[in-house]
Amino acid sequence: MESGIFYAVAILLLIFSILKDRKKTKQAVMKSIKSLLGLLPQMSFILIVIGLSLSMLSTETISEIIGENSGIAGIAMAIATGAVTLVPSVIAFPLGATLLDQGAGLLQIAGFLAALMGIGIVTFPMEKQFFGTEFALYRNIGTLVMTITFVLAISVLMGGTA
Amino acid sequence: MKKIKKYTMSLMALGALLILYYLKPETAVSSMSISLSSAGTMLKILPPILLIINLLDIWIPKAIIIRHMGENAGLKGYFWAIVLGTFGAGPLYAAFPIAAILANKGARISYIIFFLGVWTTTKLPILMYELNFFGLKFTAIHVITGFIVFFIMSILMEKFLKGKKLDLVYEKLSKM
Repeated sequence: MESGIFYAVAILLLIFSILKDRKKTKQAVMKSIKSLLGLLPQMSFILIVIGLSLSMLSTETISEIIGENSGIAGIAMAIATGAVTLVPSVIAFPLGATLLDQGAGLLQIAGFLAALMGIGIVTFPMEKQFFGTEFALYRNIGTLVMTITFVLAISVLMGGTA
Repeated sequence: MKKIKKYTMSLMALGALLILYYLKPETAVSSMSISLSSAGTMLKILPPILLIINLLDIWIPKAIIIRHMGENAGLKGYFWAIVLGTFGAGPLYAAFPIAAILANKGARISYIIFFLGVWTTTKLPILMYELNFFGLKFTAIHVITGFIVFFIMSILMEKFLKGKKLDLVYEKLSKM
């Protein structure tokens, strides 16, 4: 669904662009192909790791590690799991809700989701390629701080305990 | 040789997959099928995104980005970062090329950092899911802490990345 919108927009823009300037359009298309090819090494790594992590971590294993009584260690594990796994958010939220039903703690799930969406250990090589090591490092550390703040806020405001 | 070096990490991951196949063939097979289906998603989503971005790159005048998200855009820059991040769709790595274009057009680094932060918390399609599964209170706390922490982070990171380091980031982004 999402990608359908992208294709529609891309095609409209492409038509508009061709009508306006063929040569510039061709350059843009070539540049797109080039950057896609440039991303392939990182992408292939990311894809293999997604498969490995998702196949080895079943829903039961995850809910066991980050159960309601797993405490601060459980929260840390939840954040670490979120940081290394790459699940599309569309799957992550239903998954989070399922885990919650299966006995995972609210704080653990909050940490898992925030880390999952913002911290990218596996995508780090790709981020590094775009922004350089230092930027990528700062951004991930900053997002870790955000994740911890979010867990604390949920704990205070929604009464979850570690 | 250089080409192979780029794939070192992938080959190592592939090695791990082979070991897994030796130990637990079924898990390895399911791992491979997950990888392939994710590859489908990624290859479906990235080409149109890259094309859109490169076409916008040609047709959006630099002056517009500088006016709205340039060095002196003030709070307006944060506003546009929220708009762009909220209407984004797709995983974080889909936001990287957008960040690159913004940088090339003269957007200030703190707005780009904030944009990435917003992308990781309040993308509209995901917000709907979150509301649905976790309720208003949880979602509101998520969005508000996200905005506050990423706002502070955008200012701090800009301070850390002054001068030469910052030039390096822009230079890297210009090559993408």
